[in-house]
Amino acid sequence: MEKAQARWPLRGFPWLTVVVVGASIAAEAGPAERLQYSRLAVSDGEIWRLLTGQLVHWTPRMAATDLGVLLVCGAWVERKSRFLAAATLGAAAALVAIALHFVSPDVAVYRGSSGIASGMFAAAALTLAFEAPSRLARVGAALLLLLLGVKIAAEVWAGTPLFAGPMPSGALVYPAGHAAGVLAGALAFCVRLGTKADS
Amino acid sequence: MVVLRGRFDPLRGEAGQCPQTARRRSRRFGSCDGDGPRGSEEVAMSRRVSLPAVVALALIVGPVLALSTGCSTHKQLRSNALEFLYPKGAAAEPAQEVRLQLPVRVGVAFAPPGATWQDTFSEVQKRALLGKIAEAFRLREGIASVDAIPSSHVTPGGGFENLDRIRSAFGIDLIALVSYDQIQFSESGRSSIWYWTIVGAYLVKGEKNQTRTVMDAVVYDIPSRSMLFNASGQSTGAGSSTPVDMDKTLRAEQERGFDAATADLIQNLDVALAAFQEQAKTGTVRGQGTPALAIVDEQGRVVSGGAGGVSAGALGPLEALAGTALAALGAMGWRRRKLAGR
Repeated sequence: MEKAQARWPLRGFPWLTVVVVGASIAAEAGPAERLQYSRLAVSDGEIWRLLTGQLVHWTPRMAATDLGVLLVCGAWVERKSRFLAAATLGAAAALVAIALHFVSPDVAVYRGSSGIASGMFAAAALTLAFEAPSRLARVGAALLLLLLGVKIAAEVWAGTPLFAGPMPSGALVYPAGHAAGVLAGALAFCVRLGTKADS
Repeated sequence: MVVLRGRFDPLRGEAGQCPQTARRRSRRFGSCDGDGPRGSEEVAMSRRVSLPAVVALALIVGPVLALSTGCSTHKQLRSNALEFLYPKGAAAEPAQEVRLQLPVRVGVAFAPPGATWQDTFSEVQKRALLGKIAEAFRLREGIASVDAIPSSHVTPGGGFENLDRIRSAFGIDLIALVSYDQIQFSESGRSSIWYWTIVGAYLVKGEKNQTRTVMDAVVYDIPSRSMLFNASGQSTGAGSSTPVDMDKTLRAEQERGFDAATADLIQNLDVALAAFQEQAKTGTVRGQGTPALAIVDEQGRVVSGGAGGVSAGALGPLEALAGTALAALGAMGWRRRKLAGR
């Protein structure tokens, strides 16, 4: 183990999270209109928009919040388990895409990485809640996860976002994307628990 | 005498008139166009009397006149959609969110001309051109029908209230208002001067004509008062004619100009429509800051854009705080374990 770390000093570096955040920042500088999710365009065959739509944002403030949470939680999760981070990223991207295209016919255009960030938040909170040596950390993480879950449930139920920051004209927050992300994080954590149990 | 007067008036530039003005008057007098009532004796006498004198005069004054620029006249036909939509004194209505239900029904109409008494662009011509435009877009995907709206329904200065009535009458959602601006220049050049001094009226085409036509179609969503897209077509034609055939030639050129500009307009409208369909995917009419655009299908499901249809996966300050707290808890929890391990 020590030999492997000596051969590759960046082994513990959360490069997966950094690559996703970096790709998102690069996408912001590119033609965001060609990358955002568009129901019409996806129906025309531009299926990459299902994923690239989760890399672009409407405003710099929105990008900073989403990518900030993703970077902090993702880096932490990845340092604990790269498998969990990769599984959460993949599952969250897939579930948000499914939610957008198949569950929410009213959504025509979408941008944002909050679904992935929520998934990573859930994965981090569950890891802490179940594995942290400190009781305070375990209870605190569980409470934070509960808080997020209640907020998302209230938003989905009321159909309106709570405590959302300023949004660009005409755009509405999509709480179902957050729910899909949290579900993905929980699923990834369960899969990891299962693999650990098997091993 | 009549013939002599007809030929010399332009050279003298009587009362500051240009040769054309004099020419028109000479035509009225039936001097040299051959159409007017004149007897064969008079013609024969006039040729005998006038030709040597005119040739001599031409040799003297011809070179001088050849250096002159002659004079030009122009005729303009125009209509303007903006003047129709926003007549003087009318306040501009702010555009609202656009909601298009596919397939859309479209009307095509000419914006009324500013001064109808001098507009020689006939209703028959207009209907024919509108028919061409309608035909070109009738079978497009997402378009249910394209109707040519007769000019009699489009009142000058009628604005959106007029469009609302047209919408009710024809059952349309969108209207393509076609404006036109056609200028016909007629210039008396060098050849026309030689014509007036030496050569007979029917031997040399002496007038240079140029017809420039610009047509612009602007497509509006009537309920929201929003302009969706526009395109223009143009044509330039040049020709020449004898003064006698001037009106006939200009009419023919006017028709050719409108035909060519319409063909160009149809091509450019096609391009603009494709660009609009691409733009529709972004959820706004013409980019950020312009009205939101929602396209719904026959069942009312949003297929593109629109407020509500434009969604954001955005975390708020609460999630940002929670994420930070989570990271702090994580760092704290494992550090305690390390400390305990020591």
